[in-house]
Amino acid sequence: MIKLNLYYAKITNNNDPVKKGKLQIRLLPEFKDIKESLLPWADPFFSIGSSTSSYSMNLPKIGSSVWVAVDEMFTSFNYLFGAPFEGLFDYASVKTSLDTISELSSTTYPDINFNLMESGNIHFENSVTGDIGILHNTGSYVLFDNTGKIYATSVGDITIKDGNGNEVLTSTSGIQLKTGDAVTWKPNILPNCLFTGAPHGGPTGGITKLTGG
Amino acid sequence: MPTYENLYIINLSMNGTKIEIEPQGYSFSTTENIKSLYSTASISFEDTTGLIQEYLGTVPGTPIEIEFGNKDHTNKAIYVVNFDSLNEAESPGYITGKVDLFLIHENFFEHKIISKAYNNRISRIVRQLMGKYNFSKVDIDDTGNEDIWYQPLITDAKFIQERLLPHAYSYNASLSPFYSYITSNNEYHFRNMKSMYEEGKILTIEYKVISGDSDNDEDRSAENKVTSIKRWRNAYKNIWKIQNRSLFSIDTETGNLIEDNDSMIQYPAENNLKMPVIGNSTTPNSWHDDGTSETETGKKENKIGLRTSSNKDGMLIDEFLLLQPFNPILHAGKVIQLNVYTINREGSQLSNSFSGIYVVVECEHIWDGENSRAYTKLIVGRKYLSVSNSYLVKEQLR
Repeated sequence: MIKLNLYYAKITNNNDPVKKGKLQIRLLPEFKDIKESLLPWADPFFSIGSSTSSYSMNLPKIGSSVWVAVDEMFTSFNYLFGAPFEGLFDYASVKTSLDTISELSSTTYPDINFNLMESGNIHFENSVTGDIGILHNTGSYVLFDNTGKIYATSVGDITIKDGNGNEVLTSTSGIQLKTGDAVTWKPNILPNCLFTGAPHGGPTGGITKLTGG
Repeated sequence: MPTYENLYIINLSMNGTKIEIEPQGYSFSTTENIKSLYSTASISFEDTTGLIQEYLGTVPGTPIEIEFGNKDHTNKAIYVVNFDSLNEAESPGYITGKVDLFLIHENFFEHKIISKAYNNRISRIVRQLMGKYNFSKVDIDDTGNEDIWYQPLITDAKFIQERLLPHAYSYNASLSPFYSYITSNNEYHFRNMKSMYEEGKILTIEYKVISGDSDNDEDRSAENKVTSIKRWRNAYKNIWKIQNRSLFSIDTETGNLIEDNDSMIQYPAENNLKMPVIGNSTTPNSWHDDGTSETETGKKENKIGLRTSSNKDGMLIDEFLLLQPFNPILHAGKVIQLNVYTINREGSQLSNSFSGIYVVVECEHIWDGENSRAYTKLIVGRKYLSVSNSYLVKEQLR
């Protein structure tokens, strides 16, 4: 059994030379006068289910705070995220963002599990309904609803590709389709001419994109 | 009969000023022990008028230098009053009577909290730290344990006693533990038990009552004769749990449990000697947490150091309390030859079981002003003894 005590620490370096998610930390006040080069590199406290092959990394920034578990002899250091001195997280901001997804059936606290990135992107899941998706910081999102329907909403273009070279591109100029067997756009939405057999649609018919109206 | 002036050198100075009271007017003692860092002292005297207390001569923090010795050897160190007491007023209505002062070596009050890291061996760090203070000698055995050591806003003393000392390891110490202590001659020591023994005995002490004038043994001078002896053996229950231990650690690569075992007779191993206890040699009585597997030499040595220091209770299983005439060369950590005797048909016979080499665990030099005499009280101890093959119990001993 290892007896651990929790200490407040500031991160002085997150660029672990061995790239294993370690953070160089300064315990405060215990290490307040220690030369930076001799400060310890704290190991991450793995969450349940993490392993060398399954891991989630979201390294905090230099200057931010962490709780560090230290043994009585000050020979081992493991960090935990989130020192409360920088304020507790408020779910309201995430709810405001998720409520922009009209197809999302519920954003009620505490049903939503989420991971808000530093960039503002959100991975989310409603643990009650099963809705799951990603909301981009621009407002674009992909949602699998509780029936398995997929909603992809973008504030800009959307490109869908498959492994056969088929593509669907939406843009300000409309929707373009491309099949994997040709380099040209040839949406062929009309049957061939009953009289000549020539195609009415596609490049031969002079149609390379679909537009409304 | 010689007076104390012919036999002893006694000087007490308070705040740098010699106390002008005749030594018959007070008693004091200095105590040092290899198991605790600070030597201590106590002084008791009659404040017949109450004026010493009135002028705040006994308040906590008062430095008192105690010089105590004989014409050949004196010990001198400064102690600081920790607290004073006046248990009973001699004259009702007046603050007069016997005052007792309890003092700690001045080093206790010199430390301040420090936030620092050291990338070095333990012995070098200890030398660097204790070298800053006012010791007459800093006596340090080398260790391994090269690592980064953190002193997290604690004093040098706490850092040494609680962080460095428990990890101290030296290949040369053959798995004997380290001790950190200050003696009444103002010396600081960071020593392993093997090194204490290797320094050799400083004298032979005898406990034997000689009738009439037959005491002409040259090797038995007056100061080496024990006047009182008492068995001071540790309780068996204190070491029972370290007889045999399972050692558990976690492999940091696989997360698997690594199992090993040890026995108290490995710390250190002495093939031809026996511990004076009967016990089993295989069944684990406890387990020791070895932490996680390590690959760096310094960290491996730290673990061995922890295993070794956790065996300290077994190092001094065989102890005696001795009272003898004052001998200022005796100090904690010194080694003596103790000769004790049994009675047989022919008369006296040197005890094979109890005579031998012992380390001084605790040394108290005492001045009894009322009786104008000085003496030295020792607790001496050892782990192993040489047992005669003819003793039936030998095979059952550890």
